[in-house]
Amino acid sequence: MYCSTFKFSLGTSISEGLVTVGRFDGVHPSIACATTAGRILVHDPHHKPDDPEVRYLNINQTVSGLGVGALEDFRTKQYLFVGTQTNLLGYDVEANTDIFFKEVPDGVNTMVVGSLGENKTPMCIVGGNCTIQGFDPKGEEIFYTITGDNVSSLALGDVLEEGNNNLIVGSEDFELRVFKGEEVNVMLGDINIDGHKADHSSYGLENGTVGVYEGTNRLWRAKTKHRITALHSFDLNGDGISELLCGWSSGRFEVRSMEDGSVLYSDELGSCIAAIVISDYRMDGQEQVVCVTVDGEVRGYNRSMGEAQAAAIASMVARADEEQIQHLSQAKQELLQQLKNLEDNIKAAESVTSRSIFGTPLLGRRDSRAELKGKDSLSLKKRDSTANLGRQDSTGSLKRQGSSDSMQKKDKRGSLILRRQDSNGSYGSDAVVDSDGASESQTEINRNASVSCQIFANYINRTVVLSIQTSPGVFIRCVSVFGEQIFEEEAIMIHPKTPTEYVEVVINPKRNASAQLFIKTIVGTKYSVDHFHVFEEAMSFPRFALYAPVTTVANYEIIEPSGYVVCHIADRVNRILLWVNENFLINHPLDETLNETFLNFKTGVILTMKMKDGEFTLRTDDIEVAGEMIQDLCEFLQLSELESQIHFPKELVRLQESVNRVTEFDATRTKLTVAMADSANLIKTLVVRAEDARILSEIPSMKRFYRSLMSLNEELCGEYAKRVNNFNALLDCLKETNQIIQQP
Amino acid sequence: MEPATLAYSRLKRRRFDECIQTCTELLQKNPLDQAVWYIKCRALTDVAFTDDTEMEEEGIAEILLDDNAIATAPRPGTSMQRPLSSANSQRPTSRGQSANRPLSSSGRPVSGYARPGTSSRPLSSAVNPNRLSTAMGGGRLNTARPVTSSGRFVRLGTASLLQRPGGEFIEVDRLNLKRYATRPALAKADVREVLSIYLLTFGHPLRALELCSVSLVESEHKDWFWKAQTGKAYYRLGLYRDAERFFLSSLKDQEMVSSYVWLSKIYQRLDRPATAMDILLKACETFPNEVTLTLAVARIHDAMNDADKAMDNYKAALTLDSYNVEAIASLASEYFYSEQPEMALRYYRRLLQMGVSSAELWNNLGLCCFHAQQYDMTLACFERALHLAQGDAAADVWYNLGQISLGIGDLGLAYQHFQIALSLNPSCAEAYNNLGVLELRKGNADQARSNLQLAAQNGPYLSEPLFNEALLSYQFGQLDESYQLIRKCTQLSPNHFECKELLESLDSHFVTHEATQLMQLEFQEELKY
Repeated sequence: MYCSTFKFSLGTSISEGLVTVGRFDGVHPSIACATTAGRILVHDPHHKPDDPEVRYLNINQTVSGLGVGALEDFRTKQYLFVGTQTNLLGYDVEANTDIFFKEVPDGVNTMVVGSLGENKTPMCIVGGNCTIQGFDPKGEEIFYTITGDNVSSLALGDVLEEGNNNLIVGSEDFELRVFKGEEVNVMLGDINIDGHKADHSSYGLENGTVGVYEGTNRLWRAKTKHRITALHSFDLNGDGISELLCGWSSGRFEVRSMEDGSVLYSDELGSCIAAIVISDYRMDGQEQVVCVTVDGEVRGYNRSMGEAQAAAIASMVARADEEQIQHLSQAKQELLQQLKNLEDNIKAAESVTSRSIFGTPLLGRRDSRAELKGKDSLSLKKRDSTANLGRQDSTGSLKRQGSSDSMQKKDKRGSLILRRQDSNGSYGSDAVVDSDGASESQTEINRNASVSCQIFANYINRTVVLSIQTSPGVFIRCVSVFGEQIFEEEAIMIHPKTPTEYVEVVINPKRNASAQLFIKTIVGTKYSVDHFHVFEEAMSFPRFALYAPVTTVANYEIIEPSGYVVCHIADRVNRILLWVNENFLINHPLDETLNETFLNFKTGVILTMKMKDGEFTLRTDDIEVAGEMIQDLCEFLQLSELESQIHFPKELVRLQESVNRVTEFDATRTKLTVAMADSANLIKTLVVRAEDARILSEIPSMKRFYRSLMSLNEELCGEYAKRVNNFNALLDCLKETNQIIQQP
Repeated sequence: MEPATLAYSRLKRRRFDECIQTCTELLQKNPLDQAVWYIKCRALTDVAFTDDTEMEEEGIAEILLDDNAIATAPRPGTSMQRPLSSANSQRPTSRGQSANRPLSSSGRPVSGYARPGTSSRPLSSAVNPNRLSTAMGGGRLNTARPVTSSGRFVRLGTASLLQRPGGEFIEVDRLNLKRYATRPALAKADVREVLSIYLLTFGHPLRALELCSVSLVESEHKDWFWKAQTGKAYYRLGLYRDAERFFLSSLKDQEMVSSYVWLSKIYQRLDRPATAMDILLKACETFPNEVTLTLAVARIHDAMNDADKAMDNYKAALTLDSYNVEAIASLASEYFYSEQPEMALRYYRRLLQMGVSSAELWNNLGLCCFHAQQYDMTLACFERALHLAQGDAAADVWYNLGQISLGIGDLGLAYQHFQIALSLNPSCAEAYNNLGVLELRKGNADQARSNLQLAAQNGPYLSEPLFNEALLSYQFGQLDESYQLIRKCTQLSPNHFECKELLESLDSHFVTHEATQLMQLEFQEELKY
């Protein structure tokens, strides 16, 4: 359907993500990309006869952000914006002039040029260390806001569909924020975004996930083992709908459908893709997709018009056929499985009945254990009836299912496992399909087996634990828990060394987030080798699960927190209690009082909540937590505005301290910079004099100069190390300050 | 008179040496006399002070290890690195073209006024392959460039101090700068300001910076003077971007002509002439009648080889200040090279009336007189020039005399003049070139060739010796050599008509030669059959 229409090599290595296309003279597009040596390469294919095709711009610092844009509406001439760790340069490539040069102490991680909100003047928006700044054509800062962590990507687009651009910010604290003006409007929990287009915003994450949001709803996501390095959207097949273009660290270039994420086309480039840009690079009136790799290879892909449209339609028809075939074959598979399962069940039932005679003592023990635990719902009574097709089981907390129901919901892949999911998140029963048909009773588990999951706080170890308990005689071989933002890798898998009936998973989320946990427990008998059952369960993880009521924590001395938030909530206490029950691991009686003290297991932060005469008081020293809770509460109560009084003396002290430290570090930085500049001058002198001595073959003095050059060089290196340390400390401090300010 | 008052009065009358002497005596008696110390400090500074709004001579290190310019291959007319290119290259050839206008030793078209910095910056390596050798040489004959410009300041400062007994006046390293910052101003004059100027003048930018930062903190970052002073210190250290920041901030507090000029200086160092120009034009709006600004604009136009605009600005400067030597001299030379020697003569006479009298001026007057056909005055002017000339200026005068002799057709005299010029300045490329041509006329082809080669060696920026040698080689049938030379020559002056002609004829030679070879081959093949 598509193929690359041109390719050439720039001949240098390119920094990842730092590639743009601009019309620097207002007419001809040229590619500007940052090379690794602190230079910018400008490739101008439509250059004037006496100009070189490739030009280099010296920046002398590592380039960390690159942007292109016209700052005046009425002109098509575009400027180049170059961001480094300390400053931002607006540069007119054609005229060799600066537009502005601004110190940006927070560094430039990423940038985007465009207009934001109702203010239509274009500006250069720079994302740095927790801050986002916007500069107008004169270099004046006209926009400033703060996010939770280092900004890793920025995009502009009308996400909220109000006719104005919103700023979408992806930051390293796993958040995707949408800014309307300077205020956060929507917060989407996720990691680095990369690209965006019209009503669809696509995002790519550090961990190799790519997905698309429509408005604020996620349409789909897909995960690979490679890292996504470039993302763009473009209607490549000419069917009127934009496709998502992804570039991966492996050098793979993919075209995916916006709607469902299916791969429409892919190509392999030699090395990691540095960027994907859209431009009419050949000036033939058609926009092209241009891929640039870190090795400097450039490849262009044309939109296939005309026949391509037909091809697209044909492919759509073909796809529909394919889908149908797929569907039918799936149905066939399912039926086959069902048949097999039925046969197996009959076989198994026969063998179990025959074996049960010999296995009585064992069964009896199982029984007794079940009774000991007092779980009357676990019963083995209907054992014989399993010989029929109906399999009945039930537990106190879990819903009972009919087996015929479960049989139909087979795994699509036609594997051994049958599974069932219930809409209300309750447990799914299981069934086994035996692949070789030879089943032994020793590997066959109790028909009424069940798995129960529970989340509770362990007050002794101060952790939150997910426990998985099976009914007796059923042993857990493996547990996999999937939950976004809860685990490091979004899922966790546990294999007990020896099969057990009880497994605990310690949950230690990095941040307060509510999530759906999908638990899959693979169970078998003690001796199961190749017959396992899978129990699926979904349960929700309360957002503030890490906060446990202090009353239940033994020997904990409560120190009243000094910071507090007071707000007036015109709602019943019950409603707030409902919120508490939903978001904390507590079951508070729904009476008219609320006076509870919580302890965060992880940080040891104390939090008290009081509700009296409609006045809600939240006491804690952690301003961030307070903000989060109040916001969550407002969301629960559907309040859009809530007036509140806050007082956080400790935070204020901390802020003051960090501001002081920032000033100090900054002063040191200036001093070190100056000292280095002075040494640099000396070095220049020495280099010239040493060379001079060499040309005059005056070896002794040449030696002398080179020796002092060496010692000066070493000194400089030492200074540099100092400076780096200082700079990092400064950055940390700035970040801390910004974070304090950012906390709501 | 009371000695301290006397010292102060001498300072006011700019009799610095006497002033310093009195102060030294007084300080020997009472080393803690602050008033006298202050007067001496000022006197010393004023002696060594150079106008810091001018561009300064760049050191070798700055030229060779320069990485301030962003664009490595800037477009024509956007950079100082390509002086021979111009934004409007479609100008008539008679004006300001490098082929007509002589080049200075650094390969730039000569300007009417010798000024440091921009006019003597060597060309970028793309244009001039012998960058290193031109970088080493100074703007004038037999002078070396300073290694770094900051080193030059140290040298200037220490040179003036070494003459005085007792070494350096202030032991800079032992100064307690914080103490100065907190001390209230001495009488009306602020010791700190004098001290900071002293530190900068005598090449201690680091200490000056310290003093400035302390003072800035004390003035709560509101004093334009300290901001500008900080900017100057940063500039000396080569931190141009920091300097820029401070000057911009200083301008926000207080608009000053000097701050604007300094900013333009910084942008010129960063090779952003257009930005420098913008800053100056902005300043011109605030200070419409300021000659310094108009002149600075004119200089940038000059450096960018945009003679027309430079002329306009020089004229504007002259209406503001009719005694401006630089403007008059620049206009005069521009008129001379655009073939209006009568106009040039008027400007040079104006300079004479103003009391300027130098070998260069008389030399120029002589040339103008000659070209304006006032032959009676010509030789008298040159006699005066020779009378006043020293060093390489004398060589130039003799060279020009040689030109005059050529003009009147006395080749023997011309030959002698050029020889004298060469005896005074053995690296005068133009003289070698002309001698070479004269030798050829005499029929000494080998002599001619060696002279032309010497000319090319000494003046790698000159296209004439290359063309002459190419022509010579061509006439002697050494086509390969001729072709190579003419290629070099076209690189240096792409618009030289004769050059192109020669190249074309050479091309046709090679083509036809190849063609005949091919024909021969074909013929041979035919024979085989």
